[in-house]
Amino acid sequence: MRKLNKRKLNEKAFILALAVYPIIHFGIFWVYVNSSTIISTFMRYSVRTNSLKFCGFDNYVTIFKKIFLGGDPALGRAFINSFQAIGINALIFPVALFASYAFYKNMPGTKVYSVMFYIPQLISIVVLAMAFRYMFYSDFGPVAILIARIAGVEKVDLISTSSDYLWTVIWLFCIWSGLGSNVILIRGAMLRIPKELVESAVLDGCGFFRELWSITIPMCMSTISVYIVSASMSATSFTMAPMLIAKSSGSMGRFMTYSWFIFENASTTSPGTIISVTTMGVFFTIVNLPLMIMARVLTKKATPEL
Amino acid sequence: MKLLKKIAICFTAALLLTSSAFATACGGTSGGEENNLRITFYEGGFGRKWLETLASDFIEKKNAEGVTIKITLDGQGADIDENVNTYLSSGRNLSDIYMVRTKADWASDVTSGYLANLNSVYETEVEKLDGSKIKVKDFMLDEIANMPYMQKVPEQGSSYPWIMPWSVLETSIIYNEDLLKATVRSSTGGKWETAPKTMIELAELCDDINKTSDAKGYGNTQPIAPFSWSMGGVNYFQNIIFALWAQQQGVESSNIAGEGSYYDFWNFDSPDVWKQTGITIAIDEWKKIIVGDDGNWKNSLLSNTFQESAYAFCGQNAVMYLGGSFFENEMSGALDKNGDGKADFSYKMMTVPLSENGIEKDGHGAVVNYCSTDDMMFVPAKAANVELAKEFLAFMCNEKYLLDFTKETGCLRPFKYDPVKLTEGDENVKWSDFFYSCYDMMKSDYNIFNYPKTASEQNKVSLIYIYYRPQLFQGLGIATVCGDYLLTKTGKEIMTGKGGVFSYAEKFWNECKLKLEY
Repeated sequence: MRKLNKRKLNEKAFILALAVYPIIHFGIFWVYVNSSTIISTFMRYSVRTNSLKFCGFDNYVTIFKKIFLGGDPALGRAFINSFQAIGINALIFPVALFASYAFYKNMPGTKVYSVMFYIPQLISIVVLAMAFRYMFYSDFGPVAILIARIAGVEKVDLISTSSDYLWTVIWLFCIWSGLGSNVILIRGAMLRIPKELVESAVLDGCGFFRELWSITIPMCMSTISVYIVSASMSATSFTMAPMLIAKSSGSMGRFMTYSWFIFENASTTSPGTIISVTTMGVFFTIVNLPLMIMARVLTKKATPEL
Repeated sequence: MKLLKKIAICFTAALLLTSSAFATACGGTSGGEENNLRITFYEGGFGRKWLETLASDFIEKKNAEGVTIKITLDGQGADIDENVNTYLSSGRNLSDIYMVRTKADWASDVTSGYLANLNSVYETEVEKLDGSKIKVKDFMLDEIANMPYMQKVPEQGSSYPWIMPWSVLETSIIYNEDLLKATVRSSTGGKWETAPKTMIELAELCDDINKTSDAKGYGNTQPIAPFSWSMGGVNYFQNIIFALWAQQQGVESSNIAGEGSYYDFWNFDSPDVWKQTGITIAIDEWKKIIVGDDGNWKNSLLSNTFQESAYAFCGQNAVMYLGGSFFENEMSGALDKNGDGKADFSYKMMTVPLSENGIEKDGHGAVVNYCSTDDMMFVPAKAANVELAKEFLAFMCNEKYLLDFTKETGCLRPFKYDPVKLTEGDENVKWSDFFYSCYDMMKSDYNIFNYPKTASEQNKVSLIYIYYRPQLFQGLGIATVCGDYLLTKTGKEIMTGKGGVFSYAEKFWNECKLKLEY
């Protein structure tokens, strides 16, 4: 009896030892961090007392006015710009899907193209962006020189913040640098499709595109759903590409995104500013929430098992 | 199996304890080592040589006092300006002294208790080269002597200094003297001999540069533009606008009835300061130079970044460039492309040209230049060697080291010393022409700063200035105003028109008032 109790005690201690760490971790890094973040958005910093005072929804009202009522045109522009990330992902998806399918079907030149697609994934985005910018420099960038020659002009300005084409360059960069990872993701899903199923479809007379539409896409739907959900959230983290390509936000926040705005303003020790950017972050999540829920509901319908 | 389980339990428990200790650690020491003075500084602008000599002399001095110390110089890139915030707010791994390019929110660091009080530094007597002694606070330039002072709690207790300005940088138009002298002056038929003194002359020079370039008068294969600038360095536009505005508005006393002076603006007594007429005139004056009648940039070689525009100037693709007195030190490599040890061309900085109907001093149009004092030094309150750090900061203010700084960097520290006079007869010291041009600018009628100097003299600096540091183009930002707005709007439309600065600045001012519980 005594031996049994000791054994049970040891087991409990073992389980406790395993459980305590994740619980504490969860408590500190999830419950505490998130709750204190949300609570701080209802506070105002008082310079006079160096303390926080409850101010209700004032911070949210201020952010709302700045974004939607023209209180801060640069922030309003940054808010809209952020949603370009969804457009970029929407453009990447069919290209990635088709490229993955081509690789999956072992089209001629698959190995060469695979390497070309994957290489950008192995290089730091900072280096990639720098190399990409060089291609578009008006003085020596091969792409810029080519466009100038075609257009019959001396120079074309593609990457200055006064250029009307800078957003196009940012989109091209996002597609170029983001394609490889999505191809890896989708191709991985395609490789798990049972060969028997494909063989049976081919025997039934299924062609190249019919197989893609009727077999491959439905069988990869769980991966595609993940892609769609993450694409719907991409506006919240659309920072690096515009920051590295545009380098400056430009006039009226022309190339600024919301997360870039937060990033730029969060580097301070001023409690008032920290509260302000924290509120902006929470506000954006709230505004973005319906879109994410909608994406989730739609994908849930397509893939009930997910 | 039993043993394995016990080992697993012990390992997990140890992991938990260690991780928890790391994760929840707070307070305690800063991580610094006693008597090892760690100085983290921005290395880009002035390099590290000036600091190395200073550090070794300070170590010797302390050794002579019987104290053994070490000094670690931790030179960093531009990201130190942002990273320092993390160090200060965490209070861990702090250096004893930070030297950063800019820290606009230092007042909130004071309120939060992150910075050490530097009163003892400012009260220290330092030695001048003639052997006399002077307190640091009396040795500083009068214009900014009060800038580092503030109350820890607003409107309570005494004011103390918390930071030390690092340098005083003249900013204006840098020009290629060789190209300038090769420019045909249409109005006289001869060539330009000196830099333009008025905005009218500057406009004339720009036209002449274009004509000379078109006529291949520089022997050029590529066109040479009047100005090299970039959207990334557009804040140098703003520095010119500051000087032109002060010329119109009056520096210390108002030249325009009922509107206040340039220095009154920076105290932000009301949002109406953004309506000062001098600002709109200054914008229009600058616009005449840089924007054509067709609404496009003119007289410009536009680059993508500030660095590229500097390289374009160094490559002699433009005659003028907007920059500061740090230019020579920072661009020394690019200025000597053929590697013969001297610059490939002669260059100088001109004073900001006079605009029409500006203020006068001693019977002539007052020359006004804008000086930047954004870079600064400070000591974290939780640093391991606070007292030693303060002692080092005071030691730096001995005239010998101020002079050393200027010799090494070509720039000035914000103190009342005259490097040229101090080195008269010293054959080892040879100041460059560019240095002399910047040095002469310091003797102009007015050197202006973004600081409420007049209010400071009356001990009435507003809390809005101290805690929120509003900008001239508050709400819209320099990039917008000196970009699209300058191309399409007049000065008045930019400042007080629909969607102009005033509408945003007024909202911001009211928000500040609410937050400061006026």
